[in-house]
Amino acid sequence: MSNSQYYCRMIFSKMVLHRQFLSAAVCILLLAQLTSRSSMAAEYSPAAEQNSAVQEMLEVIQSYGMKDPKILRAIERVPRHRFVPENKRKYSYDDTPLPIGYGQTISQPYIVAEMTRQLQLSATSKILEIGTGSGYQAAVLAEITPHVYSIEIIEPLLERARKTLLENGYGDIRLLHADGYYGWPQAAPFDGIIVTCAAAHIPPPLIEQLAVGGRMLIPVGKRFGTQFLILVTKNEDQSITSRNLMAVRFVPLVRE
Amino acid sequence: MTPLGPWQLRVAVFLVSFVIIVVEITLMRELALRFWEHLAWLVISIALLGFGASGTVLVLIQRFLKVGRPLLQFISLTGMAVSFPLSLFLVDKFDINLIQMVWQPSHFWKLGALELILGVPFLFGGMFVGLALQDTPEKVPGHYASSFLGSGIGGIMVLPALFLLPPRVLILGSSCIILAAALFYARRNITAGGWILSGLLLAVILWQFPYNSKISEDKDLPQILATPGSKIISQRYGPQGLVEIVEAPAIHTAPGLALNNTEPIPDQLLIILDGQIIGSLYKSNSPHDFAFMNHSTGALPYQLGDYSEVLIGDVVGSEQVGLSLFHGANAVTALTSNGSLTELNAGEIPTFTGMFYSAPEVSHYTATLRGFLRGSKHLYSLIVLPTTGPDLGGLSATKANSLLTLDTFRLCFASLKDTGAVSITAHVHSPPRESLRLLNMFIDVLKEQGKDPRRHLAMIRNWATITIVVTKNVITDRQADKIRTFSGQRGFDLVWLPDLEPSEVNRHHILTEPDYYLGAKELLDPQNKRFASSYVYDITSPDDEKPFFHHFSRWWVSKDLSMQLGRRSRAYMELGGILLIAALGQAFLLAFTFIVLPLVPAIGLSGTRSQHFVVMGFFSSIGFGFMLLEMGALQRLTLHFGHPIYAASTVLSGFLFFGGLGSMISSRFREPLTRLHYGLGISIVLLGSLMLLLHDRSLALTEGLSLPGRMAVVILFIGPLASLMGMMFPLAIKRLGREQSHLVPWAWSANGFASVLATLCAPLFAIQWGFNMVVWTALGCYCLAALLSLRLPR
Repeated sequence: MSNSQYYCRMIFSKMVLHRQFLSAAVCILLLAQLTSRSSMAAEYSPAAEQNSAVQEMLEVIQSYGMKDPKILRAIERVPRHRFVPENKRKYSYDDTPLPIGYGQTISQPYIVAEMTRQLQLSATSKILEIGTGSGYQAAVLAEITPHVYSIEIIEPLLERARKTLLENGYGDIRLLHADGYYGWPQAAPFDGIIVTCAAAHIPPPLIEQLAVGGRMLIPVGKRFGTQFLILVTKNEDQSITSRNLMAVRFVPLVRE
Repeated sequence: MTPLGPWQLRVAVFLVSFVIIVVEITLMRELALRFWEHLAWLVISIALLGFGASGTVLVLIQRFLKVGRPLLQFISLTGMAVSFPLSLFLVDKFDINLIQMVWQPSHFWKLGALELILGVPFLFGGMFVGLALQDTPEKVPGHYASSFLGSGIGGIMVLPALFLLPPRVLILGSSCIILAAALFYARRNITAGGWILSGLLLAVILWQFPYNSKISEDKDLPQILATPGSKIISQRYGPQGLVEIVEAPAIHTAPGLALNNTEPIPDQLLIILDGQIIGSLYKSNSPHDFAFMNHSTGALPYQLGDYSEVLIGDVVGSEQVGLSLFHGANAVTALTSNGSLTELNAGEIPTFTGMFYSAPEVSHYTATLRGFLRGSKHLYSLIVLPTTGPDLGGLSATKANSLLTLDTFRLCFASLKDTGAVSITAHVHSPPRESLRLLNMFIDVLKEQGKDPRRHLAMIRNWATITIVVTKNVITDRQADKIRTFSGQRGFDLVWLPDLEPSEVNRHHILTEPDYYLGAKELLDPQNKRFASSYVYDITSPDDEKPFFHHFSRWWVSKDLSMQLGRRSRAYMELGGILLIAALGQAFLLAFTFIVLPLVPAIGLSGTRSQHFVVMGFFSSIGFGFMLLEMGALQRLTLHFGHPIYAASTVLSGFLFFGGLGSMISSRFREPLTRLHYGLGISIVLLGSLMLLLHDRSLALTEGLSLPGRMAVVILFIGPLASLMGMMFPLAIKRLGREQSHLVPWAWSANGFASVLATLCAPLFAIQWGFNMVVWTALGCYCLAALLSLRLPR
């Protein structure tokens, strides 16, 4: 076998077999889920919050290889349907993002779980979230650590998230209406920073506000192209290292 | 209803043909604005579907309904006028998302519905022209002349009109022209009530018309405008698209900056083209405001030397010009291919572009890089090619790109001083493909020059971008060390340098494997000639004959991926190709359903099987061949004109004008038609072959001319061939009408059906086998038609 053939096969097998890559590939929306699971979702009712819909969602998340009990417990405890607009609630526990208005979405449950896992949180970690959106990701983080800070630039979204978080027992989360690009310098440094919207540029103020040994997660790329989830870490010598965690193809939204 | 006199009818035919071509080209803009530019080919397919169906509808109406021709013509005109606004109104009601087609098949059917709705005005237009051609034989040549004159003038006039008016207003204007023609047609029969009703109809159209184009939610602009403080501060329409300058304080773009950059990023305005961000204008008073750009991989060429004369191709924002000024360039030539952009930047936002436009070192030209270099003898020390865009999920796979071909790279290399360099920056993809294809193109050009590519290339990457620099001289150790220092300080990873050690790569933005380095190493290995052809993606160098830079899929990989990943393999598919195949499947269904199928119960198919084979074969061949040639020319000339809208305008005008001229001339031909017909077919094949052999050289000679000059040359170039092609169809109808008139409707439908399919087959063939193969296939069709013409009735 020539070098080139070997190299091609290596790349190809890596694409196909690498666990992270596989999980990345699985991140795409599965039409089947929209059809097969939507029948289940259609039967969903708020009264049955901890019912089989939640369990089924957890099974799907586990099928990606996610086994961390701390993360799974956090996902299980947050009532996702309360963060979803009423007209989309029947899809609450589908593994898909959903529109929440103002051109924004509540992330796909698996991506929320994976990003939370990648932050390697402990009960004392201080976390900054850029893009509160519905508040769901912040609530999942708050299940693990009480030190969650979240910034949202669209005020009506922030107010709605504030209300939802309060109503569901997440009043400890600090919320700020501001441009997330500049971070939250008064509360810095952070052990973890999670950016929930794709960016063409990693904001320097966020890197500055990352603690030594801290981890920042940011999706990079066009909204409907192939995005990369990038992990940025700050080393002891203040140098920065980054790595691609996974490729994520856009995930279509459920529309009615 | 009183029929129109011949000259009045000719005016109406002129107007209908004029409006059809204007709307066809304007709809390309409209779809590009709402979706993406590469859907332009769909409009031609839609128009042909409407025309094809009009023949079938006429046959059915005239067979089953006793409606006089004048009344039918009035109905056609009124239907056309009303269906323009109505179709736009209905299309806006569709929540269609082309990108989701792979996941949600319902969008496939929505696209079909969109085609059908937009095809209705063309159906009415086709009916009107078809009815005019049913006039007495001595009047028909005059009607033909009106039709081709209208098409020819419409195709040219639409370009300046697109500078002045938004696409939808142009369509509304077209609707009003046709409504006026309808009223003129029926003026003697309309009562006072009729006039009032018409006035009301016009008022409703003007009142309810959807004036603003609906931009897809998947595009950048709707997302940007959702952020606080965002507003459009300036906009300009033009044939190349709607350019908008947007103030969006919450959006910060500076693609690919080093993660440790501490240089401030100035305030910026976003430049949006057809709803997508294409660049930024940074507020600047001095070159030092662009210090942040020295922390991008795009600053790589400036580490190799002091480049005094810099040529920057396809400038959109101000960062590349700013970077060159920051590095002390004393003569910067900035080319912009979109004139609207230049006007907007220069005139309306001086705070952001003052330094950029008034700096004495900078000269601005509205020109394509290729056209400029062809017309210039000047040599540059650095040529910066435009940054390739981020991945849009393979949507651009079917879009021909004239800039990123071997021919452009050769031209750039020939325009360099002895110490010069060419630089290009691309977005990173995983697994690597775009950057490796660019590298492969540079390697090919260096090899042609007799140079060792390993000594002339430098390549670095970071988390977002990858930059390649190719130098005319060998890269010295000193230059290599400077690049090492530059990259190390900014946290950039080395991908290729002469004498690069494996231990030096993949240090800052860490990949599981150093894919880029390994790929570059394989490509640059002189012993390894099979890497590019056996790589998991197609990274062979595109050229002008096959210029699909963003098409990377290999069918065997897709098959393997599909087998191993199942549904998940859809994440790696190129959506452009899928859309094209979906549209072809849909066109087949729609054309068969609306053009061919209705004839089966209506008129049946009598005659012998051999007659059927000859007639269907002949008319399908010329329909398929005509449209393959037209579409092939349209795509090939997109490279020549720099934008598909100019190519469409020129090619459609040229083919329709000269095709119509040929049709008119053919009516004067006398016996024996069989030999003449055969001779025409063979002449088309010979002339087409000659043009195929000459076109590369001829186009290169005229590439430096102005746009109108190039358009005139191209129209004259395609004129003789289009005239001959235009003769084949009417001659055959004439011969068929004598002895086998029952087959005439079938001949029309076979021709229409094949034309619709050819419109979408042409880009597929071009992507797979190149433009030459499209033309050879078309000529093969004409060869077959010439042979079959010997068996048509005498």
